[in-house]
Amino acid sequence: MSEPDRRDFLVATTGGAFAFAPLLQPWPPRAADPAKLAVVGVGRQGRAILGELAKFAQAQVVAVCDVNEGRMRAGQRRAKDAEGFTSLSELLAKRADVQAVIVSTSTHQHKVAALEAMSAGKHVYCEAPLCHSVADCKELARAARGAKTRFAVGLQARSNPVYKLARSFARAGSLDRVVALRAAWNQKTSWQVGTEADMNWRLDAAVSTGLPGEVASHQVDVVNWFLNQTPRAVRGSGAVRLWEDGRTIPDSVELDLDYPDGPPLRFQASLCSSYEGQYELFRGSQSTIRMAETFGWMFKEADAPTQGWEVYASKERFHNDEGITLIADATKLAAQGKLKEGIGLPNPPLYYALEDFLKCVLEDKPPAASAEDGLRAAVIGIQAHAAVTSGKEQALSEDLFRLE
Amino acid sequence: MATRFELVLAGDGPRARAGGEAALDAIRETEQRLSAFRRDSLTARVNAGAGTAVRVDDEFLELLQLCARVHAATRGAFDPGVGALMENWGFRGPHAGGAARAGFERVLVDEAAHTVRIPAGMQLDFGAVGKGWALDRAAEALRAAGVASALLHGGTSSVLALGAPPGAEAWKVRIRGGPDVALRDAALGVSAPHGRTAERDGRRHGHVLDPRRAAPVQGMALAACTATSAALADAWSTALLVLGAVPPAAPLTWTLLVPDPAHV
Repeated sequence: MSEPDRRDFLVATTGGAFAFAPLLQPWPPRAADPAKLAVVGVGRQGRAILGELAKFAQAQVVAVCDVNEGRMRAGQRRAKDAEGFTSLSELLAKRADVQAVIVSTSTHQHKVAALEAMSAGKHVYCEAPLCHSVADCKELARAARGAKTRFAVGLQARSNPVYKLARSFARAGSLDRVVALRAAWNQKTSWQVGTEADMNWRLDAAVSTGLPGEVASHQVDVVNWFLNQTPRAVRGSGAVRLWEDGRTIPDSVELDLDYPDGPPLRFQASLCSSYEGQYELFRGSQSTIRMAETFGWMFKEADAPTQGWEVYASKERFHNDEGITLIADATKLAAQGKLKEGIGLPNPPLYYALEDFLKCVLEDKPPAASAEDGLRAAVIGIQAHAAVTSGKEQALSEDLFRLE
Repeated sequence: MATRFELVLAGDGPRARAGGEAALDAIRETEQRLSAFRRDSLTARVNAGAGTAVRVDDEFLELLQLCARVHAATRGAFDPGVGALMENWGFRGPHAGGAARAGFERVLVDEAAHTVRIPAGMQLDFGAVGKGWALDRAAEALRAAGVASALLHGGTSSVLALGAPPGAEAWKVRIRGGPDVALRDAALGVSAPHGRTAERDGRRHGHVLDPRRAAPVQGMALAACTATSAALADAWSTALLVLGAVPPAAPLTWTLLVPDPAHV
């Protein structure tokens, strides 16, 4: 069979598997005035946001704000034309042209910044986790529900083309029966930052939600979204296993989250070892899906039905297992003979989350992750942290997520 | 960059650790942004958009400006537009053949629009400046974390000294087969054609290309220089290897040129 024939065959037979909406379409389809944005909190995450926003002709960062002047100046290097502020109130008073505010402050300061931006009539993109307490999460989500402007939460997987593709497989039944759920996050890093106490909020027991809040909440949201379920209870354990510098926030945690239907999610995170990095794994009786940020793989059982497209798909070996690489927009790439080039995403996950937010601002599209999605993910993280610190199971009743 | 970076920090425990982690983060981030080998890098984005104006951020524009200055001062001996040539010569996997030329002067930077446009057929490759640029970003992170004394290197060819070691005047670095260099708030760049090689026409060629001739550098075994920033030292050491001489206006504090005995 000649090359063009193969491609034709591939396109013709991928209907069942790949006929999901094209995921990497160029955007925007037409020229529009750029959205005028302000970024509040330009530490590491804020600087990453500025770097990604610079790729969009439809985004113009006109102001950056950070209580720390040095950090604010560092942020301006990624957005030189932006005016610098050390107070959000001042920014909002002076820059009436700002249409949307991106909140990437420390978690416990999200609420104040986001509420202030909303009161000033701005669209808001708020980093996840939403807030550090259930009460704050609810207050912010309630305000977002009542606002006329858009409110998006930085649960990036929901905008990630590879995750969207994998979810469509999971929803279409490719896993068959789900028999186990795993997620992990490992990075050897002390979580110590700089010289000032306010920068070390993740190690401050008064405001930190630890690894369950800062990390697990994102990954539990992936599992919830893939399964269309919310866990009902969480148990946890944790300890300071390496960084004995006086901290009380555990550097290693394990969580078990019970879902109403199916197996529990076992989650593990550590600041002591980088092995295996970050992943979410859905083990099914016909296939297993493993997601890792910009990559996704499907491992099929021998008795799973063949879906045609996989014969031509790229594969990767993991010791005794062979993973089929999940490629966003595979049909189009296959037609161009560029399927291999589609492995991994051309941009970091943050890029796609910001792209979705720009669509909220410029086209009034609904957010990929709403305030209520953010509330749910954050509250699970907060309760999981409570389970770790108390050693007691925490219920995740619907009351916790309800907005009266 | 497929390069090992190492940091030696003088300071108390948690603060030095925090500074070191921030510095390594800055290096990792720079690699993610600049590597021509990563699909999600800014460089890959600019390369994929050859022939069109591609949006980049101000930090990337700063790097392009530095490259343009060194490119002009070395009359093209330093040229980050060398990526397609590197591919042709087989330094980026099997050699692609075909015609390609560098020529960073043909890169159009629009500062007001925050865009860069490279001509069709050109590919940017910051291999000769990226390690130094990453070290400069790492030093910024260290200073911000309150670390005042440190020695950093990337692949042993790019070295940056922050302050001096406790109780000494300067950090001392030995160039293999060469002299000791004392560094204090200064950077050292070392370039040599050995290391990675590619075979073409039955001969092995070193991995530094002379962008003006579109052929591997010949005649020089090693070039080294010190400068105020690691990016400058890195870029200039490559240019000196290509030029085989030091231009009068070079912004360097010290230089070393070692001819290749096989060519003398």
